[in-house]
Amino acid sequence: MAFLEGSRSVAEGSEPVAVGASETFEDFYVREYPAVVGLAYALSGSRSGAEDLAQEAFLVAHRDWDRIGRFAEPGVWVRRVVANLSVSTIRRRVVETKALARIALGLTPALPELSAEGVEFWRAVRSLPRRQAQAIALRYLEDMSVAEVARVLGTAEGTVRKQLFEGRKKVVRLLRLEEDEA
Amino acid sequence: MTFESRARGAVLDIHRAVEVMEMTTSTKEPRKIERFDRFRDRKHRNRRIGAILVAGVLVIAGIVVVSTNMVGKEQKPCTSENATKLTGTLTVKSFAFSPDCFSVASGSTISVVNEDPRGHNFTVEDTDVAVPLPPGETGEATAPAPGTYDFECTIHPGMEGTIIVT
Repeated sequence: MAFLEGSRSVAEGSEPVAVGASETFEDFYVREYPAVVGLAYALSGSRSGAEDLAQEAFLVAHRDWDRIGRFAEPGVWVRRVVANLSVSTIRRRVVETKALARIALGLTPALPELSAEGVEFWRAVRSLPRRQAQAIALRYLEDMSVAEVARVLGTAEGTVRKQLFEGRKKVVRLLRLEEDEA
Repeated sequence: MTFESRARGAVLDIHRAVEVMEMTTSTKEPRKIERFDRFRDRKHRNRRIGAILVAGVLVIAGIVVVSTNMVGKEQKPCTSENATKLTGTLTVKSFAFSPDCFSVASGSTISVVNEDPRGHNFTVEDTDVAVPLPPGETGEATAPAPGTYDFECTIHPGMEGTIIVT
């Protein structure tokens, strides 16, 4: 998984500045783009707007790449931006309207539809308070550890654990799933 | 079914969707960068267009405000019929004279009170009347010979009115 390859060394606490230090924006973009689009898709639920949300996040990184590129974890940074953009209702609507207009003109294809079960699952996640939704999407989409999720969201690990627990509990109830053993 | 297995399926769904997206747009990396560049350029262009539109709207709004003010003034010339008889003082407030169309008897005293925090003056055209009005102070002038006179504050264009002296 792209994110993990890019940031594992940081997660383990070694060579915190090495990752991304000399990377070009192009390399960073090519490597991280698919995962970031996936995150935008899951959290916004917008087939048409997810790519725009992702590109918007990369645009912010691009504008300030001299600074952000030197961060230990530009991947963490761009995920935080897209996670926040994707749960913003107003932002999502604007992006989606624009994207739909472009699709009508045949300029951009929309992302493919998910399976019925997938749609239902992510809809349940999106109905959670935004922090819980972000935590679940990050935790599962890229198989991140609690520590990694905490870094992306800029919160304490304990907070993330609580958000994951609360979020999972509510999704279980919404989708009438069996309780997990742990 | 447990949460974990349901989540795994849903995550696979997203990954598959992104893969399909990559295949339909392009799996070649340079194309992807091009798409980003296009997005960025579009964003910048949109921002420029937005700025130009906002500037345009402001200019048009300015023209409308100025022209309606002018039209308003032209539509009601000050005559002895619509002039109010000045009984108290002439007031200067918020960069305007009130009343701005009044009648007084020749030789009477016109008191002008400046209620603005800025200095103004009361200047009657074609006469010697030119009364400085420091902030908060009152000045006095003597009404000139019978006739119609325009008056103004020479510091602030647009602060003007008409006196009918009887």
